Order: sequence, then C-alpha cells, then structure tokens
Amino acid sequence: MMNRVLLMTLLVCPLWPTAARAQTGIPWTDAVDGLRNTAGDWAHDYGVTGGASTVAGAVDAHGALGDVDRAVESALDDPGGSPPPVPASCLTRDGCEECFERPYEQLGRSRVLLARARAVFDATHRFATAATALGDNLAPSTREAALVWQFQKPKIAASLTQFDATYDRKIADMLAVLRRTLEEIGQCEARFYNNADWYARFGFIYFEFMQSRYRRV
Amino acid sequence: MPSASCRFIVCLLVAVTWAERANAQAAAPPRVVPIEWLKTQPFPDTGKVALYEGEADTAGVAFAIPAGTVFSRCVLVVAAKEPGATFTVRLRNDLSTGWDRTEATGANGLVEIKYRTEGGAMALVQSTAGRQKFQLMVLQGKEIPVHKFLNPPFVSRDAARAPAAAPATPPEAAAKASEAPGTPVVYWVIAALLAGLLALGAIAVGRRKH
Repeated sequence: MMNRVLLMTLLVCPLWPTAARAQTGIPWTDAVDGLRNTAGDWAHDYGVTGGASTVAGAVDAHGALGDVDRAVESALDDPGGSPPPVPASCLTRDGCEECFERPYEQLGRSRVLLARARAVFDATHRFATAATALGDNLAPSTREAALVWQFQKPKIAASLTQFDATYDRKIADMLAVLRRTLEEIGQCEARFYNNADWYARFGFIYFEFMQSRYRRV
Repeated sequence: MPSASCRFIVCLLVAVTWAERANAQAAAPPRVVPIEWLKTQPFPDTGKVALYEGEADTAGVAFAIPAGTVFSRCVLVVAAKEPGATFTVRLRNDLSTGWDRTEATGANGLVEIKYRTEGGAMALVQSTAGRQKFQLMVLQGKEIPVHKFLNPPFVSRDAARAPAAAPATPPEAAAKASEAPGTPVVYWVIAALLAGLLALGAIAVGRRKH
C-alpha cells in the first residue's frame, strides 16, 4: 500500500494539473505524452494488465461490480440449467487437431456474447421496472409531476419495446453463428474421428438448448 | 388584557418566524450534484486512463465512467489532495438499482476500488466535511479474451454413453438383485415340480392300464 501511495505521489501528482486542464477543454496531448511511459507501471501495479490463461485468473481480485456482471459469469458456467451431455471427440482447446481451433474459439466467443446479451437484457428490464415503480410512486406528489409522468411513462415503454426488438434481432444473429460453428465442429469430427453426422446426432441438442435459453419467450 | 396582547405578539412572532423559514426553504436552491463525463485516453498495451482533479462538498461530484466490458479489469483511485481530507466514494453499474460499492478514504487519504463491469458505470465522490480537493483516476485494462480460455461444453463419447447405461443397473441395485431370492430359480423349481407330478401321473396311468 505504501508503495502505491509513493507511486501515486511521485508519478501522478505532477501530471494531474495537466490532466485536469485537459478535462476542462485543453487537449490531452501533454498529459498523455507525460503518462505514456508510466501508465504501464500503474496498470501492472493495480493488476489491470498482465497475462491470464484461465477465466479465474483473468478476473481474480477485480470483482464483478453489479448483478449484471455476476449474471454474465454465472451464465458462462451454467446458462440456466445444465447443458445436456453432448459427446465430442476433442474436449480441450489444446491438443486438438488444427481443424477444431477456429470453431472452438468461435464457440467460446458465441457463449460469451450470448451470456453478456442476456445479462444486459435482464438487468435493463429490472432497472426499467424499478424506475417505473419509482415514477408511479412519485408522480402523484404534485400535479406537475403527474402530468410530466403521464407523457414520460409511454416513452419508457416504447423504448423497452424497441430494446426487446433489438435483442431479438441480435440473438437471432448470434444463434445463427452458433449453429454454423457447431456444423463446422461436426465437419471436423467427421474428418478426424470418423464421427459422421455429428451435428445431426449431437450438435443440434446443444443448439436447441442454447436457443431455448437465450431466445425471448 | 396585557396577557392577551402578549399572547397576540407571541403568536405574531411565531407566524413571522414560520413564514420566514418557509420562504427560506422555498428560496434555497436544491442541492444539485454536478456530473463530470470522464474522457478516457488510450495507452498502448495498457488500456485506457482518465484523470480528474477537483473539489467536492458533502453532496459530492458524480462521474460518468465510459463503458467497458465485464472482462476488462478496472481500478478507480481517489486521492485526497490535502492532508486530513476524507472522502466517501460510491460506485455502481449504470443498470444497478443501488450503489454497488461504497468505500472511504483510509489513513493515507486514498481509496482504491478494483472492479469489472459491463457497460457504463457511475462514481460519486463526497467529502465528509465541507469542500475539499481530490484527485481521481480511472484505469481500464484491455478486454481479456476469455473466450480463448473456455473449453468446449461437451463430454467425452465414453462419458456420454455411460450415464445411459448406469441407471439400468446401478451397482447397489445389482448387489441387491444378487442377494434377493432369484425369481428365475423359483420358476425352475415350480417347473421341476410340475414335471415330476406329470411324470408320476403318467406312471400311475400306465400301471392302471396294465
């Protein structure tokens, strides 16, 4: 801790006035040039950079801030009910044939994107519900507030409807990518493990599971 | 009569005081918390950083922190600029319905909040006593490619076969089955008895004919 205080004092303080000026409209260039060599040290000191080879290693010490963040993390492990046991010939990212590398990476990316989209969707609805309830409670306090709220509330509802439509569109795109990825894995299974029709026999089970989890009912 | 006039004067004074207080309350502007929109600046191989220096009173200064992702490590540092100054720092995700973290400056006048969050965040820096100067830094690391660490969510082909066979003959049930009186044995005994009876009947019928 003492080191950090010293670090802050020695490195940050002389540069802050420049940065503060930048905040008020003067270009950032001076501050950036001054910080360019030291930012890496700060980042290392606070653990913001540095290698990570596992999910746990990547997120260690920097805890998830809100419910939305915790929801993303839990969805990666368990996207709402355990996934069905889908058999495959190659189970780790390392040590598989090169053919699997790209689809497995894409599969991971799809899982992360789907989990993030769903978490943001749920959190947005929770937030909107809470905000609407607050508005409903406060609006009757004065006539002006009631009048304003009468016009604002439908706008919130309309925004949410638009948000839902966007979510549906994005999820459909993501699921299409997921399906193509699973079909690619099926091609690798057939090519290297004599496991023909992998998608038709097994892959579709996982696709159906993910579709039921992330599509809006 | 003097008591009545005194009572009147007291009532008048109370009324005036109340009216003045009400006027003062109506005239007092609401305590608006200023919002600063932080601008982050990219750094090679590090991520982004935003710096700010300013003052906060007990109502505080709010900071809108640019959006990040849940897999980029961030740190918010608030440092008191003068010795003895203390601050409370609150932090929340934009979609949270309340403050997610609340920390106070320590003896060294520093607060560090390490976090990761999806989307935008908001910080509120409040002085604990009067107007005091502080410095703020937000450091956002690059997004960690978590998708590269995720193993595929599949099971081995043997493991997929095993659970299907297991429920039919679980070890305990198999053990119990071997200990229990075997029903096939009973059938064999009954069949043998019936065969014996049939044989005896046939012999008896044969002897009568002779």
